[in-house]
Amino acid sequence: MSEVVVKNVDNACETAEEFTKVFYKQVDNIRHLTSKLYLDTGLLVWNGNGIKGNDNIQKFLMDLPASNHTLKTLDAQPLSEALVSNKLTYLIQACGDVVYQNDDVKKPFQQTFLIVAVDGKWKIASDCFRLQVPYNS
Amino acid sequence: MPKRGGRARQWKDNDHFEHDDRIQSTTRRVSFKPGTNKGKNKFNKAWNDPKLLLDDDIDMGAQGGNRRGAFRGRGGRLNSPAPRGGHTQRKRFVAGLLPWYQVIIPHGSKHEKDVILKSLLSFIAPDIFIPHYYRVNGNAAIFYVDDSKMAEKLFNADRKISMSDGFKLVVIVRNAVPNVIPFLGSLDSLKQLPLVELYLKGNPCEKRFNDHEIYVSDVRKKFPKLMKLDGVDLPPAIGFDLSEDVALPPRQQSFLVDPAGQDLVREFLTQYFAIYDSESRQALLEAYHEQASLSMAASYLSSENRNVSNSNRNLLRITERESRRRYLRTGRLQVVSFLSDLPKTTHDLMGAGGFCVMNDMLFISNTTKEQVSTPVTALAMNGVFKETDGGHAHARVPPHLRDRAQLTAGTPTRAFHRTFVIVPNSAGGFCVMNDMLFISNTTKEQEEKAFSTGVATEPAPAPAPAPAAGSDEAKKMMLVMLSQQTGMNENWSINCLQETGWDYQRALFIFNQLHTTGKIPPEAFVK
Repeated sequence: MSEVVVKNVDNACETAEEFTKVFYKQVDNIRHLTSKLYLDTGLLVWNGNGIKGNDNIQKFLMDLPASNHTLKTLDAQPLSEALVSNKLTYLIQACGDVVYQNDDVKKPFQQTFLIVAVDGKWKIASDCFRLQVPYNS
Repeated sequence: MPKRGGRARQWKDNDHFEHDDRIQSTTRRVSFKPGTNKGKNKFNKAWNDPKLLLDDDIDMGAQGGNRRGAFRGRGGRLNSPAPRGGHTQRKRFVAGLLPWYQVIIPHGSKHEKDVILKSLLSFIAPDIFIPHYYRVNGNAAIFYVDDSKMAEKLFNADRKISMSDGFKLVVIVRNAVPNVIPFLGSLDSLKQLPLVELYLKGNPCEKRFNDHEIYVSDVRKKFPKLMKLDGVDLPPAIGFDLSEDVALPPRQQSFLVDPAGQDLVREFLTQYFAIYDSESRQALLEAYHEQASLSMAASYLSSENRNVSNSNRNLLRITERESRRRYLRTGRLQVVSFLSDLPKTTHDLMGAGGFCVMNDMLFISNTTKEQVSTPVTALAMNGVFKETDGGHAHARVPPHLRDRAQLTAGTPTRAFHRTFVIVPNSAGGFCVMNDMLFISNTTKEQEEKAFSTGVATEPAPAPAPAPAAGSDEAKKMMLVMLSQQTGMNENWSINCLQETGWDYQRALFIFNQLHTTGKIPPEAFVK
């Protein structure tokens, strides 16, 4: 790996740490501001439900019961800059447990983010959230 | 007290008489009423007239005609509610609010538990009662029944059963809930149930509270939906509007940004996992980009899986930059060699003719006129797989010598979440640029439902993208790979590839089919 690539790998990891701290704090505590973390054209795929656009995402998130996420694992990789028109893009995979207020049951979840640096801010281009359940349940 | 009551009591007293003697030689305590407070009260009171005492103790027989009057009078004098209550209760069985009854056998400690229960059972036969929480307390044996009918039968068994010592068995039945819940905390395991009614009265956890309101409020904290406690309607609780009843949106199997991408996703995943689940993952070389990168994180604790835990790139644990870089596999060779070291797997991919792993296509990059950028597809999937070689127990055994049946027995099922970033390759197909793998334990539910769509079979390969032309170089590579992957010698490998028109996926598929049905002769594996 070239030095630039190595730096990018380091940065992806550190950004992932910062990002997930901010993201889950927002979702769990100040959810009404969460959509600011998404691109205007951002995409959320929540348990297979696709929600496009910042405003729709905000509305969707507000309708979810109050939550409390606990992260157990975190991983991140940079996307090759050649692929994404030299825009810094990171792939982040976060897994852990979430408790929703409606039933108070701890559920394992897995979440993948693609985040892009736009005008000095990290924005979510897409966010894929899945609760760990049998596919045929 | 009405006359009738008195008469009944008197009649009963004859029965009591029988019991007098059986209380071991304590002549003073010849209570005619079992468990009498009456007697005690009397002794405690300053009764100066010994005649009265005497009268009380031996009032049967001696007093003749006076007896009835004396009796009644005495009841009035003492004004002691306990024995009277007892008498009233004995008259007829009164079913309680809850179907729990305490059964007291006053001298039960004299007999074995078995003897008492058998005597009672044979008395009420063919009915059966179930004794709960049988214990001996002092002289008495105490247990509970949770059926009003049986309680009544036992109630009627009072003084009907002659025991081996010649006495009749006294059976007292009263409506009472067994005291078995010591603390409110003992109910925590029920917290997830949306209970609306709860009966705790008589349990130590209730008695622990001096203040009934605090008791009610503490119970309600545990069961916020409670509307009735100990048979009393609770006033509606004033809570907060916390959208507690909001349910989660229903889950969808998959989401595709671009429906046109469906075939791509399906084809790619089918092919990828056909190789991934095969004997060798070497052929995945073609599935990865030259500069591909892969990392894996796992969240289960298991010593059995050394390979996995040694390369767990969980950034919450791996904090040194150097290690983070090392755990990121870069370049297709590193990637495939890493994957080859992971335990052999079978993914639960096949449903009725389609992909059943949940997958979500996340992202397709925009292509603008100015920039000739490559379309990038991100794909996230969740599912389960089985580790089929028990953590490399068979690693040194050539693939064709491994017993398939043996491999599928006692193998752990794992849950995975995987994200691929896919780009077109030069051969017109697709390859993986980024691969992130997360492995964890299955949930109990997943464990039960995994592979329930039928026996995991080799996925039928979708038409493979044309392999990089028919160059000799490519053929040579395929030959080496097939030979490596199947364990067949060069001749048989060439045959197999020629038969399938040098379509590697197809060759591999045919091999697997023939091999599992035992149609490939042993000489095919002689090199």
